[in-house]
Amino acid sequence: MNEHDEHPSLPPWDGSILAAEREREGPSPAQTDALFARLDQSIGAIGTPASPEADAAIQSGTSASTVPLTAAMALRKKLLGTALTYLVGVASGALAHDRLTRRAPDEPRPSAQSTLSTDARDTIERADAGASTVISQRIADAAPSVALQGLVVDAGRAMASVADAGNQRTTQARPVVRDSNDLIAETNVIEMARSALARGRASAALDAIEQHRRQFAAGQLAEDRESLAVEALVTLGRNDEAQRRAEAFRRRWPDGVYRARVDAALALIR
Amino acid sequence: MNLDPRPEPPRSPASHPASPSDDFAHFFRAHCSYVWCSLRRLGVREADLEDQAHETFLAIYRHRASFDASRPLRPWVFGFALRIASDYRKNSWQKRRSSDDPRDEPDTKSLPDELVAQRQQQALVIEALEDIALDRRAVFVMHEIDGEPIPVVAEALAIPLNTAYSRLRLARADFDAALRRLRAKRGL
Repeated sequence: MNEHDEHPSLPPWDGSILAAEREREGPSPAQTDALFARLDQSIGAIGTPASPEADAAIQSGTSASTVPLTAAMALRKKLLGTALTYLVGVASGALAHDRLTRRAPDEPRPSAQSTLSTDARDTIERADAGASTVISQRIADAAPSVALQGLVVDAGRAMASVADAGNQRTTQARPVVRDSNDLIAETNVIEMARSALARGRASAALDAIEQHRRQFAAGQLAEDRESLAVEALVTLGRNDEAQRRAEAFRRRWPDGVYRARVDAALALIR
Repeated sequence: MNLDPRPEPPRSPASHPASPSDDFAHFFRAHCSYVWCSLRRLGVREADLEDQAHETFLAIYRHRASFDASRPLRPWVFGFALRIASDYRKNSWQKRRSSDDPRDEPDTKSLPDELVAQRQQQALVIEALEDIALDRRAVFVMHEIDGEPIPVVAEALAIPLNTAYSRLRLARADFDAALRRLRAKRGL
């Protein structure tokens, strides 16, 4: 009997199934060759920047020069020093700001997600979690956009001003309730419980669950805790307690994301 | 062309052997497999992977100068794959899902039993991932499959840390429910 047979209510994907996906093979050699050939041709059509201005043109998709990929790479190395010199020498606050804010249509812009879709989804997720969102200054400082990461020039003042603007916006949108360390600590305790349960150590899982209840009675991961508690109690055969806790869970989170797990755990004792 | 464009053997999650700013052919060779697999996990069908991988590497090439070598490379690359996959799904996903196109089934003919089992598990994971909204799925894939720490995921996706944790939690629940449903459906 394996671990999952002993604890059929546990997530079946802890081990082997995601391990199998991690071993997924990439393209075949023939596919790789075909892709490389297409890329070589396409990049040749894009060309290599002859100047920082041309680089900017490439980034906006407007360059028309034609240098194949391998030749482009050789030229690229020669031009890199010039480009960096240009960036460092000329980059003023205006350039830095321009690079921070200007994006081509196909550039990943995760930071832009915060304007519409993320805000909308955040609202849903906050409601679902039943907890206020945690936005501390530390989080804001630690979560710059990809555009911020990409700066290779000393644009400290521009970055600070943009970051400040972002911080003000997010801080206004989401009240600071609790430091992110709390959430990390909560997550650690819940993961201890989840891990113990996955290894069949239901008693140890309950210890961690109780620790979480004491430390974070109204924590953001209370729903996780209570669903794990039901599973642990069922695993230990403490069916009456499991029933009571499951009923409390259903009252508190009638549409909770772990409702199906709680129901599945209870189904094992019926 | 002198360089062998084939991907390097499987790499450790922490290894970032090539920067796009140095040698793009080398970068391609090092990250082709990762981009390919990431696109698949983000919902690109097998038949469209080459096209979408091409678009991803083109976007990376155009924006290679924005890579900061002091930052982890793979999450940065993943951001491009996510953007391309998002556009792909907007343009074609609903149409494809509603059409009579057969699902991507693993070709397991003449494979040893253990590889058959692995391919079937991979197909199950991909199908379960399809039940997860893309923004949650991105966090799930980066953390659960790529092994990136959540703070790195949050930074790469430019989302608050608590949002990343929240999305991971929701994605886990979605994935769990999808696996249960699929296994029940298949009698596993």
